[in-house]
Amino acid sequence: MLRSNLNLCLHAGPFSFAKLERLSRVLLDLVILLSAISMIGCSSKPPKPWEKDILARPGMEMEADLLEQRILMHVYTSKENASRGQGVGGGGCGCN
Amino acid sequence: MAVDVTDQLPPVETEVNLNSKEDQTAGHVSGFESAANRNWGMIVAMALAVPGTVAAQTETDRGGPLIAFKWLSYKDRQPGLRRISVESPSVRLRLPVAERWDINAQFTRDRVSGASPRWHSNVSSASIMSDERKAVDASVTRYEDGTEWSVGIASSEENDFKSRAASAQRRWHSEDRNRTWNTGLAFTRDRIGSSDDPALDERRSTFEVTAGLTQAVSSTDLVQIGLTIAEGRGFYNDPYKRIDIRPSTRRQIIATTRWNHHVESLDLTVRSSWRWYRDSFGVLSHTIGVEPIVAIGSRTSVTPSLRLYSQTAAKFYFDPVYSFVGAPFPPGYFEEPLRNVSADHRLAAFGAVTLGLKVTRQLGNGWVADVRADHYEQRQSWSLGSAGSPGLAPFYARFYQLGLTRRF
Repeated sequence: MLRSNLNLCLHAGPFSFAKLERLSRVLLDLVILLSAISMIGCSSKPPKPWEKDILARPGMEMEADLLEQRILMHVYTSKENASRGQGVGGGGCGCN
Repeated sequence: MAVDVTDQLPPVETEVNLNSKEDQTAGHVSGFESAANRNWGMIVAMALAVPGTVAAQTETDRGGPLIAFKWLSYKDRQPGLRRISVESPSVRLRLPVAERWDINAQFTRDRVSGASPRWHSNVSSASIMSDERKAVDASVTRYEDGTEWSVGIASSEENDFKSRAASAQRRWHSEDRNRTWNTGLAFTRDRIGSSDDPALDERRSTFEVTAGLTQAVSSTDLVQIGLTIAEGRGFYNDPYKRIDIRPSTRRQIIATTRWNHHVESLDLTVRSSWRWYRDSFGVLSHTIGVEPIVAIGSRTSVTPSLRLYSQTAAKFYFDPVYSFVGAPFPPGYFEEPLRNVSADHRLAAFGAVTLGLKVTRQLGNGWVADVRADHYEQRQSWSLGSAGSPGLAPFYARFYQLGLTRRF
């Protein structure tokens, strides 16, 4: 996707600000995603077994309140185009 | 190798002194504490005392039996007009069976009523509708050493829409339990009808695959990344829009990042997330969420939340500019038939902000109550990187949730 965007800029004729804006947006997305990925496995201090008590607290769960998350996802899916991204399972609805 | 420590739980204490040679720590559990929280702290501490055992940082908290209830009350509006109202109770059950099995089930019933908009943001003469949706999903999980398997089914029914889904997931952990991988598959089959057209009977199917990784980055940080790809084929038109012709296929790609960070000096946990979404309709969206969990005493927590959303318009969405005939026909509709076209405002370019506040209270004996309020606003001018789609009236929604959970 990145290469195709570069080709559009270089070979598609006159300079296009819209194309440059789209390329900038893609690059920003990639930078943010790679920064997030680089945190994983590159941590300065992976916890030892005796350092994990805080990680076991309820507020640190990734899936804290499943009912609430499902309700909120349904609300937003009915009002916005984006959907999914919170694991598989669950039927659809006629709201989107 | 996992060790079942549930029989070894000591009486609830506020401090733990471990005499194991491998790890000695004063496990002071402070701030927001519940009976369940203290017990889990003990479970972790006991697990740490045995060489080679695991602690539940990245893996799912299996826990014991659980029943949770939520009531959602939702209302939305646009300037000068009340629109949709929804009342929705939900129940969730979790039941451990034998030593290595869990059964999970969830039931939801939505009662929807009110006025829905037609094309763009025409708020006048909106049709009054009333509908009820019933949804149920159930899954079975098998726990083995270092891995978990789940299979699930789901069903959702409304007057004009039926959905059936099946899914399978697997999680597995690194030796030190600092990393968890997960993968999942799902297949959904939808059946679309219309209250306005009894003859309409269309189908749609979606195949979805997901993969992710959760990493304990430090003693106070958990990070998760995920990727989902969904391929759908079938009927995507909105049968209640007069002019709505959408592609018969849809590919969705979703990348997510989550970061949970605990600030020890403030006894504060901050949960943040970012979702990147792209689909073959041409929509690109970003969703950012932040919610700090603030402990108030030992039994109460307050969680304010902020959610920011922005999307671009679909390729075939048209602004409120009409042909010589007038609304709802877009330019070129009669001269040169358009392959795909829609005036559904949910395919427009806009942004949205949600402010929320949740209060959670430990009632004792495994009971937890929570109440949550959210205010949602949607505006064309809030679209990131663009002026947004013209002709959209601001949209507002307020929704409240009441919850009650019992852990056994």
